[in-house]
Amino acid sequence: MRYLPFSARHLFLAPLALLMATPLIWMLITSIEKPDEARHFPPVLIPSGIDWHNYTAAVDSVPFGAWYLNSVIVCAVVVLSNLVFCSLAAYAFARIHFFGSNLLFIVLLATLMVPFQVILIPTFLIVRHLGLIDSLGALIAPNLVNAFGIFMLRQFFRTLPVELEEAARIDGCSRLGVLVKIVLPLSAPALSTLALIMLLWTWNDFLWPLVAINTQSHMTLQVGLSTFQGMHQTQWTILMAGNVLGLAPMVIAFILAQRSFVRSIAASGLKG
Amino acid sequence: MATVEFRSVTKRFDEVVAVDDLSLLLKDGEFMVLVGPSGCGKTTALRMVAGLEQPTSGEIAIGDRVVNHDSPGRRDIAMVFQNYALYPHMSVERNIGFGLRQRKMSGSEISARVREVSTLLGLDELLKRKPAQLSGGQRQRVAMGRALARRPQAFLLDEPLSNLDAKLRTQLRAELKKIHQLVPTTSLYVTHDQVEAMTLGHRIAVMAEGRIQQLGVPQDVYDEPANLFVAGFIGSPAMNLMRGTVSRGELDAGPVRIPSRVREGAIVLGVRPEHLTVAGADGNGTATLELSVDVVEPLGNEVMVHGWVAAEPYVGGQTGLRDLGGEGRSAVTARLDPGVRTAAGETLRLAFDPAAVHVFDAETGMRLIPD
Amino acid sequence: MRFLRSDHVSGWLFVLPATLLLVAFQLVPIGWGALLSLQHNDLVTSPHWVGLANYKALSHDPTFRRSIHNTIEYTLLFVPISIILSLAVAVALSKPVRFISLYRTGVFIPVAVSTVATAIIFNWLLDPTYGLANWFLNEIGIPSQGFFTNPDQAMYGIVAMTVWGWVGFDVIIYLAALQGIPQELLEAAAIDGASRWATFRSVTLPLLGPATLFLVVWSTINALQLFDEIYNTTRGGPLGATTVVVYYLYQQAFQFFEAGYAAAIAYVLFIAILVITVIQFAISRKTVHYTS
Repeated sequence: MRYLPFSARHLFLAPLALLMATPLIWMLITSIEKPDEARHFPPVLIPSGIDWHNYTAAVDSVPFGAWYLNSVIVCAVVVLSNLVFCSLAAYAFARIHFFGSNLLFIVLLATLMVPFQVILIPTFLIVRHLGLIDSLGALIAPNLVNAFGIFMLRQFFRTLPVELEEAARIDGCSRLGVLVKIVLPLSAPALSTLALIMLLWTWNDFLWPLVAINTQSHMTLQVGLSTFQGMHQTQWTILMAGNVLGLAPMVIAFILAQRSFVRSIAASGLKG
Repeated sequence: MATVEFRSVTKRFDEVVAVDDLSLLLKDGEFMVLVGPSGCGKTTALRMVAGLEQPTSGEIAIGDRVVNHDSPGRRDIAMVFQNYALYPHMSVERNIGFGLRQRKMSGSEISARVREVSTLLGLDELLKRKPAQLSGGQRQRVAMGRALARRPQAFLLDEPLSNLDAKLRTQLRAELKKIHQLVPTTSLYVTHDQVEAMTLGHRIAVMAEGRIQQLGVPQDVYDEPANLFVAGFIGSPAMNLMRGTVSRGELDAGPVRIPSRVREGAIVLGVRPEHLTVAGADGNGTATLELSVDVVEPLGNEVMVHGWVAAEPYVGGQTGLRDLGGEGRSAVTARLDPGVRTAAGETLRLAFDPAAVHVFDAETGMRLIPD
Repeated sequence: MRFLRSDHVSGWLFVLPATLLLVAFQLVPIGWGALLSLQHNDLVTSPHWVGLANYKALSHDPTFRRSIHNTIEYTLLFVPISIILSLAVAVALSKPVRFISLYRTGVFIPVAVSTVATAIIFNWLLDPTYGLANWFLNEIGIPSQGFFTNPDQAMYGIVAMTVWGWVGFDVIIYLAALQGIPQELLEAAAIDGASRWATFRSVTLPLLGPATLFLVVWSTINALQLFDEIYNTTRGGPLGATTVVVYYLYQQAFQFFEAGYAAAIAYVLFIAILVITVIQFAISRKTVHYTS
């Protein structure tokens, strides 16, 4: 890559990047400080040494492991089920002419316009009725399908050349076979985009897990982190250590797969 | 209006030399065509005049002014892009007037110029439309209008007709010529289409590998190609080429045997398809060759006969040359009168005037002149 | 047999799972939510119908009115600031300068940080006694501020926090849109004599219209639904200064067990979002130009 010679952009970008990074850096520094170093004003910018006790205290105090696991399970199931069910529906809407398809599509899409708070309480009542309250099922069931996924995949499927599918059907492939053997393999970018977006949403979801889960060991990472804060309100060093544990997985995943995440977010915006 | 000059201009992209020591002077009001295959450097040369690329070395001058350090907006040039580059959110009227608005012309002056240009190009009805609502030909006219309205010192045109279908291309080509007659601005036109080059250019510069292979008036370039590349590139269908040798005043190329006064040694013989005729019974004063007919294409006004001749083929080492034949077989095309009847598999005896051939050095490709 | 193989049947079979799930977990709740809003419901005992009483009560509820005011204040700050800032950042990041990957990563990472984690960090940063922000202010001669403990400043703290978290998302969208502008258009504008600012104003900005519209609509909808950050920092305080509509809704439903009342709030919010979005789209018809 050829770089431009020194440009005024640095004068803007450098302080900005520093400003954006400061909260995270400060969090990291605090997490390895001794408690009294944190309770000090002006703040100690460079700690005397690395104190890992904050991390051990955080891990001892609350079940981070269980929280990670819960979040991972919920995310995995939700992402997978969305990929499967949204693909099926999106393919039908994109390629199959069936009775009522237009109306159905509009109705399903309309659900995207309704803010979550409208269905918050009814969903709570439904889930309670199903006996799923306080279990991972409560977090999974309402999210098995998201209309956004149907919309996005339908748009994408329509950009594929229909001749490929027609050739496959002439060769004897069933509709389902065409979807699985021809369309899905060609849809890797769209599928991974959808997967990453759903992963981000589900991982960071807060309000619904807050309402649906009471038992600490059943909580997802976000809700757990929130109660963790409640427990250690002014124990800043422990709090920051716990926070690092809380945000590390997603931040690391993001750094490793930055290109994919960025591409997915860009794609979702352009479709929107 | 002004002259445009390249003074020993070289452009390097990392290791690749796109333009190699180019020196060229466009006279005031001249329509100069840079023609060559893709990658020959013609577009790069054009973009350097526009200021969109910087020469690695050498100078570009517009008028008397060396413009190397002038930004595109300050060079008083206008450009017509291959993909039109019309502002999609502006109407035709605003597109044409954009450059004028940037130069802070008065509103009334701008409308007057826009009107003038739109009438000339037949765009009066379309002024309020957006580019998305126009056809390809209309868009290209708007692009030309935008350039014309500026009344610049020089026009730069980057393959403006390549995106149009054949019929439109012919039509707009003629319009371009007409416009230049009416508004004779110095113009630099880049294309890979040799028909456009021949029909539009006052002079043409055939380019390959970053260098000018030949510069001249179209007919001269056609009649006397300076090297094998130009010979094979200009003229459609391409010139027939065969290997041979010259010794003791005689040129020997497969079945062809004609007297020649060029230097001795290995040569390549060139004969244009239109210079081949069916051999008559007499055969004196002309040279002949035997053609094994392969494909016959009746075109109505002429017949194109493609076939093989027992000569060593010239396989082009440079870009743009056809890949021909095999061992001892050279592909030959002849352009014959429509009355000629022949079919695949037959043998046709063709004649040509020995004075109308072109002889090139087999090693360097340069044209050989009789001593 | 042929009917079973027909497109109608296969079409419906394909959409059935998704349809059933969305009916169960979207459509039914939407309708139920409307019904709930007409009830007095404490989530435990059996509810009873009260007609439009909830809505009437809302119109007289000063806390609700305050929450609307707070939400609008937040939205009017968050949306313009985040969009203008992210546009500037995107333009700055659009050309390859040295360290660009570092700058981009710095701008993007906050997107991966959850709202809860962000809240925890900012609680610490803006702590009145020990926070880094006050240290910085003191260094440049400004006295320590209360931030989240000061009713007049708390909302600004929320705005700063959410802008930090969202800017990266907007920048990604704008970068993608900037890439979509054909290089030739910018070259044509340069040849036409437009200065860099004129090119930006007359060519780039209009062509970013669709992206801007998307971000304005998306940011507004999200801003109106602000909850997570409030719950994890100020809990609606101090003195109700940061009680936004959704937070009030949450309190009503799960702290005061007035589910019917909360459902009514939800529906009012829904209508408001709908109306505002429609207005935004209507405005965009005049101002946003789509390329073919």
